[in-house]
Amino acid sequence: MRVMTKVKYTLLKKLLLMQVTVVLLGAIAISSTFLLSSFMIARSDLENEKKQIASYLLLRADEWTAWHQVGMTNLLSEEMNEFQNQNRLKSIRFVSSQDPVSKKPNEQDLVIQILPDLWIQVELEKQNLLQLFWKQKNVVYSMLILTFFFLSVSYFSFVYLRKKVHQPIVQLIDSMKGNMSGVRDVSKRIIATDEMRVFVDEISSLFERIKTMERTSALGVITAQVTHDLMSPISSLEVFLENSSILDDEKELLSLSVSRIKNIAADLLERNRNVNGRFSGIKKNIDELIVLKNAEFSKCNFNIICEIDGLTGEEAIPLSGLEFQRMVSNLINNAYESYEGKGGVVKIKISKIESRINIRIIDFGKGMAKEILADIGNFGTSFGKAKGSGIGIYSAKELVNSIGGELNITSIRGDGTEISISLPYQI
Amino acid sequence: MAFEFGLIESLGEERTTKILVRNQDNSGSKIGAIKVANELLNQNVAALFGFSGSHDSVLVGKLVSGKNILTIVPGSMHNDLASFGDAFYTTGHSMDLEVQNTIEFIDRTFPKARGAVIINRYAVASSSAEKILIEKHLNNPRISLKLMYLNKDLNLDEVDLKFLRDGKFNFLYFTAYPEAMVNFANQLEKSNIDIPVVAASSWGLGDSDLLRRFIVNKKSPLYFSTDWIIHSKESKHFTNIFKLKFGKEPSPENALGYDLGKIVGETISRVEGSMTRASVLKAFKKNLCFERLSVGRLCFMETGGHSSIKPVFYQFKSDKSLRIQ
Repeated sequence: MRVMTKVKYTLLKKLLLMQVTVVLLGAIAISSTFLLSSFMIARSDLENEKKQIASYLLLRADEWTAWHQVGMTNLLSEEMNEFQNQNRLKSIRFVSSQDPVSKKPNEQDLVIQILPDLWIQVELEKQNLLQLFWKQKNVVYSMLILTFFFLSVSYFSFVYLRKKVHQPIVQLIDSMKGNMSGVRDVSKRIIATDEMRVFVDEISSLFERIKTMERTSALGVITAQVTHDLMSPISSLEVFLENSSILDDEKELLSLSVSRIKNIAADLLERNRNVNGRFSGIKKNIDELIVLKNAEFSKCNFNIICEIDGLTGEEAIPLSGLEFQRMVSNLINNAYESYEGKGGVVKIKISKIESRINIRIIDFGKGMAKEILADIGNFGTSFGKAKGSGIGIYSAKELVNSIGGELNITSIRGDGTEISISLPYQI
Repeated sequence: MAFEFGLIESLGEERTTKILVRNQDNSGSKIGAIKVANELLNQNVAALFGFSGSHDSVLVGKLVSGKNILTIVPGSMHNDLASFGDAFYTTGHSMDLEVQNTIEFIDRTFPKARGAVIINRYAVASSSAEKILIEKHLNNPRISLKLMYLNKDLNLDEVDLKFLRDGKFNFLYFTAYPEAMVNFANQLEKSNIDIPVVAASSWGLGDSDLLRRFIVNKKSPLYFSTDWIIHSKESKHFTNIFKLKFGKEPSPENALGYDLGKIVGETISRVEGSMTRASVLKAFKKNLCFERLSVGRLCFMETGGHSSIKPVFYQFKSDKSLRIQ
């Protein structure tokens, strides 16, 4: 079971917090506006209601006054109560200047003078905040729905970001921490889509390359040290040979061997130096290599066909001639081996495509299965060679990548393999 | 018209024109009487006369109560009219007397019969009669009365109407003015309910066309009380001079106006010195009995309120003649 690294959701929390803040501020703004408008509407309604009540009242006022004056109190009470209920009034009564308990009317009351010393006083139902608010209940419902919608959007966006962005990143970090190698395999199991998928793949690839470079870098240091240490005994050996009394034939043979060893050591040293400033003409190098390789395979029924298209001969790539020739030589060797000693042909097609040199090395040998193809190019992966170290394709790929080029392999089992190399160049 | 006729007969046309201040409200307001009276009081008139009907009378009575200005209203019966002080008078009898008289008539005419009292709560007189009936007469074991109330459309509700249709009652007692009973009268006709009716004295004052139409279509009798003894010597005299002046038969309302004009004219003629509120009131109280009115002799009490006149019952006949009961 995978143990997730405990990572604080800082960014997501901030994002969610911002969303909730926006929703709350929006809700507060809407509520405030709504409350203010509700109060204004309610106040206007109250004034209209008062006007309406006053107009109704004036229609009945004379008769009620008459009933009040002639003592028809039962009928008057019935009608006034009915009027009170119909208009949701708190009270309605006649008030006289001689009335000993004359209640002072408040602002909401409606007072209509009927006679010089007789008024009808109407006390309206006081409406509290909740009642005013509830009068606009349709708006309340809309506001609640809107708030619910906003919160839902916030929640779903949080969940979406967590699933689509946060979790892939955390899993990627876990895979990087827990795996010194094979990150790419683990990254394939990370659930990610779209640009996140690309991001995970690129990051894991980059991470794996860095790990490999770390390993090769360490190997390079050792190699340089060993090579450097070898140079001293080799020099001693050259001095010894110079002064030895052995036969000339033997001396020459030994001298050639020592020279060969010295060249190899020098090359190893050069590989570990900074490669900046190394450029070599591609056409010259490929021509030289083809001559050498044709000579090498002259008795093997293996033909190398080279087609160069559009190159002027002045195009230079940022590799030393030895590096470039070694890389292509290894790939030609691979092509030869794909025929399993039966002989065949390898086509090398070189052309310029925009700002890059495109080199295609095509054979019609046994090819590779898909599952092999996926791993080929990784450090230590070899196919079809009894003593293959897997360094050939891997080092070619690393070399190409190191100068900003690309190396791609396409292969169909039984039909052959094509290796396509794209390199930057200068003139 | 009849008031001025009576006044001119007492004071002469010139003086009448000189002293008479008229005011009236045509807005249809229920408190028009108060507005009219207030305006007259503001003009500092010496006395107020008019305001027929209990509604207007009571409104004005409340207004002038305690102001020591002689006020006489024609024919109103509301009991409260006796409570506005010794300067306020009505030529009508009290509602107590009206109801008492009617109950006695019912007791005589419909012994042990069941009657339905039709009350118009929106009419002051009817409402006043209802109050007296409830307080004084409904517990009387000799009579059996059920109060029925007209609704806002001045119709009887179907439940009550069914009682009448089913013949549960032997007579109806109308407490309201005839104007307020038009809808109910139509309702009775449409429902083919034809039972004897005992009406309030106001039915002697109301729209006679309505009464006649209603009575013509009725087979059972309609009784009503009135202060105006139609076949008396004084009544006949009034009828004659009225016909001579106006060329038509006087109505009971004309009689009330004429009598009030005569009373006011006699009072004014008694005033010594300048005509002030006090002098007019004093002149009136010099002699509280007045002669040669259409109703004959009419007396008031020192304490104010209703006159001494007593109503008598008449029956409308289908041949339009009247008969004293």
